[in-house]
Amino acid sequence: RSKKAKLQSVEHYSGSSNSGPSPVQQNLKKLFDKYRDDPTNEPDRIGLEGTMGYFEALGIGLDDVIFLAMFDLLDAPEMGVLTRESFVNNWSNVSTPSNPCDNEKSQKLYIETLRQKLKSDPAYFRQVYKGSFTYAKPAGQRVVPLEDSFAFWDMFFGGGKGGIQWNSPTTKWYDLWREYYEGKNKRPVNKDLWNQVAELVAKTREEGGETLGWWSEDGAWPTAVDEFVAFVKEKREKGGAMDTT
Amino acid sequence: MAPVAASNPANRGRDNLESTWAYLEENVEKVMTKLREGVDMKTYMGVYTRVHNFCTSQKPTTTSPAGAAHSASRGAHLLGQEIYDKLGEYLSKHLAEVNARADTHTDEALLSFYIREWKRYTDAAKYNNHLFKYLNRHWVKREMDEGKKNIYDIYTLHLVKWKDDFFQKVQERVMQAVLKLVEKQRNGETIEQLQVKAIVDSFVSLGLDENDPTKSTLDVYRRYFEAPFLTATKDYYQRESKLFVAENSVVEYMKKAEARLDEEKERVGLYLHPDIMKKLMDVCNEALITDHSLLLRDEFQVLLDNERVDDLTRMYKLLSRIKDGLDPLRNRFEAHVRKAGLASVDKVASSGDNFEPKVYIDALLDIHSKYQQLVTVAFTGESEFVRSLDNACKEFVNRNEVCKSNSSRSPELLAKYTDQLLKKGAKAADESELEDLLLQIMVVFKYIEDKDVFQKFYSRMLAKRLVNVSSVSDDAETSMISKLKEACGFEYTNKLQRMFQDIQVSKDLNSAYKDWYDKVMEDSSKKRTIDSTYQILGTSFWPLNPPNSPFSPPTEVNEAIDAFKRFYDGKHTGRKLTWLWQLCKGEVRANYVKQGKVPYTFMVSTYQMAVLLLFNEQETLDYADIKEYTQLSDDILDTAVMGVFQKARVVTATPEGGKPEAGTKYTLNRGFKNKKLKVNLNVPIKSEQKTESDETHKTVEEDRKLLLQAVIVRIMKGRKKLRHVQLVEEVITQVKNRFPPKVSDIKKNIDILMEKDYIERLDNDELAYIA
Repeated sequence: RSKKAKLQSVEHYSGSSNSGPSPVQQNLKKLFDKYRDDPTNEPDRIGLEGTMGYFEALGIGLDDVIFLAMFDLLDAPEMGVLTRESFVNNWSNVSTPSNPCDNEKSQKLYIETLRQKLKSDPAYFRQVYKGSFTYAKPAGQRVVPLEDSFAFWDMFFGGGKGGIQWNSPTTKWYDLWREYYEGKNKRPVNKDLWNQVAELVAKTREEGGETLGWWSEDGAWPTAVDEFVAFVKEKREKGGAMDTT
Repeated sequence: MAPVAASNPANRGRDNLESTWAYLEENVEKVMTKLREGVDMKTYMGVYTRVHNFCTSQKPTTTSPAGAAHSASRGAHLLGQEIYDKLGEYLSKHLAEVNARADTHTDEALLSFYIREWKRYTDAAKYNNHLFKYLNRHWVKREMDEGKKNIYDIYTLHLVKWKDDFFQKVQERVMQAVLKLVEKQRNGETIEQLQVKAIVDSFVSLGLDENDPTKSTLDVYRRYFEAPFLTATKDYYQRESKLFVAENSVVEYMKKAEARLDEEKERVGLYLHPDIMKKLMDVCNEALITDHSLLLRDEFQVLLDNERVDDLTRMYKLLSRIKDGLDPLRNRFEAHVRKAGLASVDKVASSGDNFEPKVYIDALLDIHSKYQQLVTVAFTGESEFVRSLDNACKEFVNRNEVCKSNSSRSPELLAKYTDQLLKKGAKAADESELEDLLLQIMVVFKYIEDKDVFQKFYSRMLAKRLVNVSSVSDDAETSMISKLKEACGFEYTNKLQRMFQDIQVSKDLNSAYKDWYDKVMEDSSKKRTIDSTYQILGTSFWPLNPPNSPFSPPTEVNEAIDAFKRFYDGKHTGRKLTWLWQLCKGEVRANYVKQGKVPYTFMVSTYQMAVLLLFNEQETLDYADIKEYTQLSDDILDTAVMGVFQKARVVTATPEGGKPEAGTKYTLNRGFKNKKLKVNLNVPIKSEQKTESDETHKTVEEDRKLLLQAVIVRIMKGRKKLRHVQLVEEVITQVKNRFPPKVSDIKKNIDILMEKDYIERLDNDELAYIA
């Protein structure tokens, strides 16, 4: 996806190379300059502090999935970092003549549509979730530490702002996941498991998915998911409290 | 065309027919009834000529010159037909008389009558066939060539008439008589078997192929003889077996059935047509076996329990005759062997955990050889039973009371037993006996699932045998390795072979070293203080670890190894030698003990040697000093060295019974006494053996993980993309000759490889190799 975005940006630049930067781009560059942390040493980069300020201006909280949707939109290379090229290109890509997203006010309007999309478009939600692995893990590492994983999972699946309420009336899926993962597995989360958690959530939310009938030992699930399913089944056998049938 | 042209010649023809047939009939009648009295040549020639003349007589009467050739043929046709028909009518009349006489006979008399008449009739038929040869050759042949139905040569005409005018009327009664006769025989009476055979032959002869008169079929025989015969047979044996089973044991019944089957088979050879064999056997099998198969199978367990080999053989033979007859037996047999195996192991395990490996392996082998023999003898070595045996053995070898807590106990014990056999000192078997025992080991090995565990233990023990020069013989070692190689392939034994090679190479190296030493060090002021030999063991082939205790070797040893190093470095550059002190050993002579002329020799470990040599300088040493000089870690110094010395009274401690700690002083015991002159102080410590076993099991786990990952990567590298399920299947296939992998373990290693970026997930269940 990020490759695609870059291709678009090349087009954009080549399109405007004759006539120079468009007014939208000019405005975006100015907007970008406004939030830079260190204009002298890092003129093309907004750091954590600047990003916070920018998000605050846009009314985006850091406990809300929307902030990860923003990183997704703007191709943030790492948590809390925005680069000039991505910033300008991606915002101008989503700009329309009726709503040129070159100022905080109109960007806020666009962000509102993203919030709606997160709720209505599961594929988009999953894209944002999967992309967030990059922001969840410490730079240069392959895995997300346990606590950080849950900070993100809380947001996406714990019924936090902009996320999914994985707990259902019959089964407290998210609570069980937390109990299993924090209590038994405890391992840092790798990318595959990160991605497959989204698939797991989707499976349980399918029609009849709560019975776990879709699971089979020969399936391609990561070990952690296999273990979680066994954990849930055992709980159900013992307690019967969360019987979904 | 009208049969007869209304003209004068036609009238002549009719006269001709009447007179000709009158003559012919008289003579045919003679042939029919008085053939025995003989027919003279004159009559024979007369009949033949009259037939010939009759058939050719009409030729000149043809009227139409245009179609001369054609008409000629039709003329002959018409005339032949008339004689043919007359003969047919005559035969029908004749057979009606025969039939009338047949009514006066029943049972065996009827059979005799039928057979007699058949003989007479067919003999006459053959003769008549000659008499009417001209008709056969010309008229009959032409009719048949033109595809006319129901025209036969004269002999066949006789048969057809017999069949239609006599056989059809009498066959049912004849068969009743036949069946009665056969039943009599089955009941043990003597009968005239040839009568039945004659009937069979007669019925077979009547099988005429409607489409090709030159051929015969078995249709008549099958319908009128075989079918009722089979039905009667089935009824007879159903009745008989039901009664017999009610009054006799199953074993008796099997004997009876076996005898009956043999009898019926023999019957076919004696007087039935061979065509009936399969059907007769099917009918008998059904009545005698299939109908009672449940009863037989129920007895199987009883026979197994009582080891009734002959009866089991009998049962196998009987049930192998019917479809799917043996399948239930195989399952029971498998369960029985498994149970026997488990019981055998239970017995071993009941006396605690300290049994000898041999006892355990023998317990496994006993059961295997017992039932293997049964399979060979009673079940003719049939491959499906062999498979059942294998399944059962695999079960009880890998999952039994002894393996309950640790599934890899079997391979461990098997390796230990092998070690005992291949080690010097044990009750050494002679060469061929040892070879037999090794073959037995391979029998158990075949069933071991965790072959990798066996390999681990085996290689450790082999290493020990080689390092300690305690192998019973090189031949036996090579023999065992080649057996393992044959069973598991080159990779499995590669390291074992390399270890073996290292030892051979080391032997040459030592003699080269001695030569070198004598030459180079001769002039050296340093006198050789110790006589040393060396083994150079390739790090990657030997399951050996560097010593886990620091050690400062005594000067004498240091000098020796320095010399060796000079020699070795001269031969090979860039090789690093790590001294495995924990495996080194030597002998020291206790010259300080005054008694006796020959001094004691102590067989010691290098660690022990290092301590003993310290006493060359001082009679009494403090623990702290010993520790300081040797650098040995506490666990070794305290038990394996000082503990052993104290126990053997090589040294005495002050204070008496003092613990190995600073302040305790050790004094050389000059009053040392022992029954033997050679005293072995280099004794293994029990706890060491236990930890070694645990360690081996641990490395197995680690190696399995690595093997699984290597296999996964290899498969993915070859396939690039693969469904998860297929990958798991392929891994199992590739790994199962080493150990049975758990699906969850394979998955775990897939997880790990994803984390390491060797493979990635394309979509939910498809994986891809990352180049």
